[in-house]
Amino acid sequence: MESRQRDPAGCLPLTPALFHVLLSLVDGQKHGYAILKEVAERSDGSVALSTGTLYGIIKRLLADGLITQSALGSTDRRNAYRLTAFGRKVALGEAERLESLLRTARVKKLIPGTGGA
Amino acid sequence: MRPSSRPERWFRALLGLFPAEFRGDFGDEMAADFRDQRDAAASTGRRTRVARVWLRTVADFARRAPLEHLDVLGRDVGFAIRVLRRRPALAVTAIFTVAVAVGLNASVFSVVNAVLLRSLPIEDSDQLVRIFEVSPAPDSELQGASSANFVDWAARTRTLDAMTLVGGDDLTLLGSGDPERILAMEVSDGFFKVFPTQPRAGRLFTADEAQQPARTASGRRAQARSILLSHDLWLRRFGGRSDVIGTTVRVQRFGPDETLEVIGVLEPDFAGRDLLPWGRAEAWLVGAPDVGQRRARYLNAFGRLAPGASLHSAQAEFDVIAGQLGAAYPKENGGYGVRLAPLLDTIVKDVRRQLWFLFGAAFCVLLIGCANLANLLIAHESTYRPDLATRLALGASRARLLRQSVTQSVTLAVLGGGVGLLMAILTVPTLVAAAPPGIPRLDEVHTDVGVVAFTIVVSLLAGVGCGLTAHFSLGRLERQTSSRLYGADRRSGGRRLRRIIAVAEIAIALVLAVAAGLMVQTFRAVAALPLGYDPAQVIAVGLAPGESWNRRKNELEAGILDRVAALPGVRSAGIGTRPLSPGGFGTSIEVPGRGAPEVSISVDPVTPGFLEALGAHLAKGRFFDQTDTANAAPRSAVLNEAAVRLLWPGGDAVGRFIRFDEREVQIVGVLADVRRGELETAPAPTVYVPSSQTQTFRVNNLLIRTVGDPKAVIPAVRAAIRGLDPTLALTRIETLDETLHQARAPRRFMMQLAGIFSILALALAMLGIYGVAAGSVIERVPEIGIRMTCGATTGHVVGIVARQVAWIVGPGILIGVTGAAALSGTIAGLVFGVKPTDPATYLTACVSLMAAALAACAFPARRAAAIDPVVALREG
Repeated sequence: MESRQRDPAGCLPLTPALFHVLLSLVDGQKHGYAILKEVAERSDGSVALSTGTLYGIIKRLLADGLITQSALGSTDRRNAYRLTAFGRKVALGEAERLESLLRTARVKKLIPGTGGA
Repeated sequence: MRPSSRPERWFRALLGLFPAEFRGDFGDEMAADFRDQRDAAASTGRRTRVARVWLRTVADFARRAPLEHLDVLGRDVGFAIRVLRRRPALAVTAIFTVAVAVGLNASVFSVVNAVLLRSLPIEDSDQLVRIFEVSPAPDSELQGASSANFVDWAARTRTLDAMTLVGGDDLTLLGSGDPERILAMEVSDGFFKVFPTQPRAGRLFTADEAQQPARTASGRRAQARSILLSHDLWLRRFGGRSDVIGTTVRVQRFGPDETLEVIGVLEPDFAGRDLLPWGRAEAWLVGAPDVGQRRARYLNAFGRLAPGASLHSAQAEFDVIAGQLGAAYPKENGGYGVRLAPLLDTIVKDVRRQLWFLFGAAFCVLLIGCANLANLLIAHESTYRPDLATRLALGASRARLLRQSVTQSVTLAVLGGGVGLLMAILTVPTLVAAAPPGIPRLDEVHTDVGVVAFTIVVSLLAGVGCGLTAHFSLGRLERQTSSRLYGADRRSGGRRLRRIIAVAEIAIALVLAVAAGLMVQTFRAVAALPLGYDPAQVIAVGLAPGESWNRRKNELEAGILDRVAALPGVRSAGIGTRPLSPGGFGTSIEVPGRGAPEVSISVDPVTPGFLEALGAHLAKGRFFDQTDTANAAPRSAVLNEAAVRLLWPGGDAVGRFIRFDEREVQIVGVLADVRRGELETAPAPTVYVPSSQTQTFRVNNLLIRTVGDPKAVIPAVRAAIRGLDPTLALTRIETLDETLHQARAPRRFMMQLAGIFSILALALAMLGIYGVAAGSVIERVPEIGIRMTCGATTGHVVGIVARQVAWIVGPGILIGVTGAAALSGTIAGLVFGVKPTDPATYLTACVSLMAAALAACAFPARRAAAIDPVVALREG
């Protein structure tokens, strides 16, 4: 309820690890190991989360209302997590923030071969 | 992962690094995810993959777990602050209590740390030793070193790699401006090896300069050609000018004026300036020790242990050397030993006991403060008992509740400790300024990192201890049924413990009150000591005559006294040693015609008028007068009663003769013993002789008894003496009342500090009693209501409260008296003129505590008496 009134910009910017976790939940609910695997595969192993960091992030995302535990898909030992509407807005906000930065980098010709906007 | 598999057990053990709450929320999931990670790595068949998973996990846990703990701590502190904001009275009382207790301890620790614990600000200062000679048994008294023995030690020792011999002399700086008297150190070669330093300007002594003898063959002091200045003196007298190096200054010591070359200025904080017991040196002269002086043991010898040598091995070596020198010079050294002591010990030995006593007293206040905090928290926790039991029932762990209790207590203690530290920072300069002279190293006292660390540790320990006590006073929350939680048992939670704590507070406060009482008695005993003279309206003026008066001592003395005695407002004046100052060497005295061995008695030359100005009490005969001239025969002497008791026990002395320095003198008078050295030392046997009949040139001190304010005559005295000799420096102008005030200052200071500590302890203990009494009144409202309905009077109700307090105060006083008596051996060394088990002091302390306890329970008793039985029964 509360998330509807909150401004997603208040949560930005996100740390890369946190954004990776949110991104992995964009296409549906997952449990911890699935998140770890997806983040590792998507980043070609450059972002290798361990369980301590992952659940530290999950604890914070739960407390901030960006994700929620999903009854569906949870087993006796594992919870599945999914994005809340607010979490999705925050992830979108971060993506837009990064895109805007990228645009600027292109205009400044920092990224070679891509030309101006 | 099978539950019993080894990797799972290892992983679960690693999970222990995280807070219990985090483990509870995510531990199973983390274990399952780790198993999947590990299985995936194992399925590749490469063990390095599995090892990498482990490594990454361990590194990750090491990084994350502390952050999770911090997160929990942050939330607990936030929770504690929210709770405490709802209970401002509790919070303020607790913080105030801790602030007072910790602040006091931090202040005293600042002093103890700087004076006793911190090493001296000298390179490798733990290698420094002071070397004493020990007089033959049975006296075995520590004495200074003789210069000839020092030279022999230096030649023979292998365990000390540097040694130096240090003497002190007053020296008058002449030249431009008023003559100024300063304390100079005369040091031997090696001084700056024992006490290394770099000069601020110029250079230190060279080996050549150090080789010239301190005295010439004729016995006259040789010209010391070089002088080093202290930084203070350089700034004060020479304006800090660098061109002063290489110039000469004219000074006057015992002999003729000397011209010295200023070769350097030492660092402002040079620790070697504070080695002499009678003050801070402002200049340094160098000379070779006098190899002809083996008997005069008054110089200060210092050494530096060689690498690999210990105090023990050095002492063993010096025992051997002392034996050799005893055999070589049996007349001078027979029976004498040598004692080595760590330098720091010798500097602080006179104050060590007092400072540890104050630290102990401050610690007692801390204990009472902690007891109060614990009592407040027990009362506070017991009101939250149902709340806690509910949370426990809803799944919170006991560890979590304990953690919150302790966090709350630590938050209070740390806040209180912070305020206490501020108080210490503010009060330490005042404490140092108020301290009596004679406490070494006071200028090194400040609230440094050590004091901050001490405060933090003390606050944390107090917080954790009180938090644990308060939480465990709740008992077993798990087994309580709701009816017991909300019923009578809620009230008894910690009640007994609170009483026990209050009893302990009373006991500790009583011990402190007894100690403070003994300090008061000690001060009164010191103040009531018979002085043997009348200090009122007497002023002492130090004199430093120049070389032109050598061999004209009598003329100088007569000139000064004629002029001063004629001044308006002067009743009498004389020259001699002022009371309560060191001086007077023992001289061997015999009674002519008696075969008995010589005895050592202090000989004190004084002019006519001196004993009158001092206000000494004449017991028999007369004081000196104008007939006691240099050539009078027989020569005369006045003895004090101690000397009469020694020479003619029970007999009369006036008219008899004594013999010393190869001449006979007749006793013309006897005076009551005058306390002329240490205030608390019994007066030594003393022979007063007319100054005109002695050879010593020691015109050092003028004593003037006045009609009105003694300081009012000083301008006239100054002018009169200027008329005689404009270069004659007047120093150390002080009334005898002021001297006495200074001499009593250490005892007064101890009395005041012990008094303050005791009052603080009493105030905190009262707060504790008040808390327990008020709490018990609230608990017993229904009971009191019933009693009042059944006809109990107000007096009866007040009696209930008073009885309750009596059950705290009674055992507290009993334990306190026992404790104080047990500590009487420790305190015996700190008191004077009163027995450490003085019944009157104990009684006063007990009565004060009872009065304080009565005052503390007055308000709760009034509240109990004002209970309306109808309201009480309805609410109960």
